[in-house]
Amino acid sequence: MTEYEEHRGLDAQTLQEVAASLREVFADPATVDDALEELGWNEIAELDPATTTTLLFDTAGHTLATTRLLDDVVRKATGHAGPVAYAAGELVVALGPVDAGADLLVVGQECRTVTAGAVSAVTGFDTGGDWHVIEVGAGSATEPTAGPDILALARRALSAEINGMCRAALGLAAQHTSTREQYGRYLATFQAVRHALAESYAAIELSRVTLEAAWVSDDPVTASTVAKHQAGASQATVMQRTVHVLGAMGLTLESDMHRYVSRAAALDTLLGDHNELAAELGAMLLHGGPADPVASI
Amino acid sequence: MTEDIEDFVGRVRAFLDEHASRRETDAVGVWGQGKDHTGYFTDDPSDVEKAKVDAARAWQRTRYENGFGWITGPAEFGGNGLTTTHDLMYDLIESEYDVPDTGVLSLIGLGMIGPTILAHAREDIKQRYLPAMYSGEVIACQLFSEPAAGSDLAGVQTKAVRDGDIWRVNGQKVWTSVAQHSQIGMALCRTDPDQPKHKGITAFLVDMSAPGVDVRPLRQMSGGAEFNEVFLTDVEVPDDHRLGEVDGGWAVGMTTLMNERASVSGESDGPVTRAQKPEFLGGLLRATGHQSDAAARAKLGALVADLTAAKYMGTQSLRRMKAGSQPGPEASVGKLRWAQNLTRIAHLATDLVGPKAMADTGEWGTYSWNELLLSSPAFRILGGTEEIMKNILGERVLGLPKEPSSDSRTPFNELRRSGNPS
Amino acid sequence: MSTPAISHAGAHELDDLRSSVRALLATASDHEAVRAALDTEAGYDTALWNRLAQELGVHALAIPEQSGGVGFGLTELGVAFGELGRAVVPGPYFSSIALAANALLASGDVDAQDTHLPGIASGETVATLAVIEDAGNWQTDGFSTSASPNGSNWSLTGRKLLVTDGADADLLLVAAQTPAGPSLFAVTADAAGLTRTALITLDITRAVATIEFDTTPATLIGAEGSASGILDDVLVRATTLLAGEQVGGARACLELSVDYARERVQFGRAIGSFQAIKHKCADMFAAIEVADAAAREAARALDGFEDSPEPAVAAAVAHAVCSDAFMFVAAETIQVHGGIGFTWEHPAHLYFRRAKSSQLLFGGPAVYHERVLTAHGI
Repeated sequence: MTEYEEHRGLDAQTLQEVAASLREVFADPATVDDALEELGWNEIAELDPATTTTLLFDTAGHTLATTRLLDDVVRKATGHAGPVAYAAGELVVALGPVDAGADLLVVGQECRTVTAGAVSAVTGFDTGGDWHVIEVGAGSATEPTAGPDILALARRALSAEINGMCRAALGLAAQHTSTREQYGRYLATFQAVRHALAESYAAIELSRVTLEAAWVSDDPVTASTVAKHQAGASQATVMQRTVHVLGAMGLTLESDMHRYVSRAAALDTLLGDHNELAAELGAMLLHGGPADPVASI
Repeated sequence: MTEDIEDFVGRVRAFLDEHASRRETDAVGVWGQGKDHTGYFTDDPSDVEKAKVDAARAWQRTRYENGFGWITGPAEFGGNGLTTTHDLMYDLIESEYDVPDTGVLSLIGLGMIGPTILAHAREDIKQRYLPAMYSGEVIACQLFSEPAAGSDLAGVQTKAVRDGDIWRVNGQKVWTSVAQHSQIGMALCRTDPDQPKHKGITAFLVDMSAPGVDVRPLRQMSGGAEFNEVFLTDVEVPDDHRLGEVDGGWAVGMTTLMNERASVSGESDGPVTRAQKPEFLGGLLRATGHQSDAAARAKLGALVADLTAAKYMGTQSLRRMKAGSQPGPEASVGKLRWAQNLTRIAHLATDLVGPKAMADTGEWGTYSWNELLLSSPAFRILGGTEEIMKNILGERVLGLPKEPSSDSRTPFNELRRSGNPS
Repeated sequence: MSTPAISHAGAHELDDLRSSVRALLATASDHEAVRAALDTEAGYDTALWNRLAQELGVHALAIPEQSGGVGFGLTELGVAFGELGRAVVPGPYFSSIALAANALLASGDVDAQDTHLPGIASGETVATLAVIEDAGNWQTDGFSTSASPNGSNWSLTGRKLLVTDGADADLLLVAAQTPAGPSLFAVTADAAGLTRTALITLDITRAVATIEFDTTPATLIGAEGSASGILDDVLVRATTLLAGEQVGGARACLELSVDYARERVQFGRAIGSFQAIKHKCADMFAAIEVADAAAREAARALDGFEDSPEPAVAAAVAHAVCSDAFMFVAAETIQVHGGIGFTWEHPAHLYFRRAKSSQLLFGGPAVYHERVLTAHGI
């Protein structure tokens, strides 16, 4: 067993069953919340928060489900009852509609409860999502109401969702190149194509293990930053390559590929895109932060 | 005897000065001014698109009537019988003037299909179509690619079966630009499936208004629909519209593809041209507050160096052509680099903009970079994938051996093929 | 500073120049000869140095006629450096011809030019330029090495950290600080108070030394306080010549790769038939084509041709693109060769070392990418 497997609260067999159940849950995106309740999700999650949270969000990402599960996770961890929003650069973004005037918990570098200002639905890059931008007046800032561990938790969940999307994109690319023929052979028998798929696989694997390590690290705040950075960097690599090997097919709206591309990019921007986080980690190192929060050597 | 270049240039300027005005270059390409479009593919509503096509036709007609419709073509079809150099010079000078973009006619129709008709069609067909094409009346499209025949163009499955004086054509073409505006299309069809794939193809000119021709727009991930699927159901094509020999269509198709020439652009104000200008990218750097960001500057510096060097390569190619040399492999390298550079610009720009690229907040020069971003995957695919281009450079320029072929000697009927995807 | 009018060789003459240098190097300096030269005391083939100077006039190419040269420009000299790069020839060619000669030309000091250029042009004088100090960067002002007046002459005290061919050069041109500002000085090899220490180098074909000055007698070159302008000029011209050398090296690497890819068989076929290898070669080819265009355009601009880009821009672009390209190609060449490319005996690492050192000579990627932006006004 690896160090990480030792930490698991659920055995391999149970985990497989949980994963299968989740796939069924997400088969119908409209009834995800009810299906999770029916499954007794809260009880299951308590047995092994790390693995189950990752499974939940990975499946959500894999199926491109538009949910507000992240809000639920944040509410449960903070005790906050109202809506939740997330810092995306200078913007404050929610996963669905929010009432103006509501008590809004904004997850960011500092987690604060503020009064929601004007709310507008955005015609965004990810047209399948339900993104809303919320105005937060400068005056409504209060003392931080939640610690950096909440930001870290949210980053871990988002990383899992991004990884799930990357897995799906790679799956689509592998399936396409294994069935499409040109010059009398499957595209996947051409080295250039194979290597693009291999590079994508490596990038996803890197993200996956970085996220796993973040859940068991002694410094979860830094480790989660690393995991989110890696997920963001990997999605950039994976999406470029998988779109490319889909050839002209991948450029059409009919293909699902663009949905993975746009949502993964959108999730990258939440709570620090991979470039911002690289700068953050760099600054931290320059100021004497731990050099190896993920691995203990 | 060919006209002296200086004399030609004088005639061109006289014509353009009389029929057009100079392009305003001041406010163009400056960060923050004009519209912030960055897209290569446009997303015009259909009435706007039609108006642009009509304007292009009208301008082409004006050129033709004044002797500049087909600079390299033979006089008997309304051409000027001059050289490629004259042609390039014309393009270069015209780009200084504010005239409609005739790309919809010239990129494929006049540049590729016209020369193919000239080389392979019957005399009466040449007379019927060439003057009409070069005067803007007839637009031609290319019916080559199919769902199962992309990079492997010789794998075409659209069938043409002879029936007396006509051929009956059935099949499906894809990625056809300007089909929605075209009067004719050049189609590569399977006429002998018992031959190996390259040997059983015939080329035809198809009347796009004939019964059985169904043009449907293809929606691309960047939002627009500049390409089409063309369904051909029992379309009757007269034998006199055949180009070249029966089963000799592969060679005809090669003529078409060999005529693909990257157009010479001077200072055009197209969004993509502007996005490649160092000054414009410098404006982006400042506007996004990365003026002193060492990492961003390093990336931008490398990119600007590559963009500028690629431009120098183009300049030198032009110089060599003017001096009479044959073009080298710069065109393939240029296309490869153009696609890669634009991809780098798109990603660097959206990275610099950050989260504002995710949603349209209305701020100039932020969300609009998505137009380029979402178009960018196409640059390395359409018009020849990056992999195919590298195969060509590796094999034809560097002399590296080809991969062992399993399908060029087997009868087409016996080949394993993809079906049409659902 | 005005340069005397230069001659331009026609296309045929350039081809002749290229083939004559190439032919000489093919017989006198193949890879085996290069290894042998590296093992000599001088560290390079001095007989070849003299042949190139006297038989082919390479050293004199871009030196004005009145100073003992032939009066051509960087375009012609760039062709010669391309061939030297292609054969990865060891020796003080870059130091003497690209650095020292250009510093003298940029200084505008006619006396200094009359004194030193003829020797450089004939190959009799090996010269170099000493700029970099303990900070390790190419700088043009604020030198720790100082010069104090000493009668009608000067004396230098300080330390230059990295001087190409510094240990064996006959003539050292040294940037030092005076009350008026940074200034350029000439120091001869036999000067008092001079300690020269050869260093172990990454590029075994280019010698580098540390030089210490202890009240070493020196002669001022050009106006006092004018070294910044001189060094800026040197940077632009030397990096343009370096670009030509880098392209030559890259082309040699590509040839090695393509030849190997055609010959080497694995899995029943030539490895060049595998896309991974084929595409690597195509990528190298593309990088070289663009780099070559940039190097030639920069030389053209500096030679004052009309319809050329602005020289400072073209030079910055050429330096960046050719440095990146040569490094990329040299590294990929080892990949194409697999294990054998990693051996000491194989020539690949000679180019790899040359590529990396050349890339860093004037600061490295962060610095030269920044220069591209500055040249464009960003």
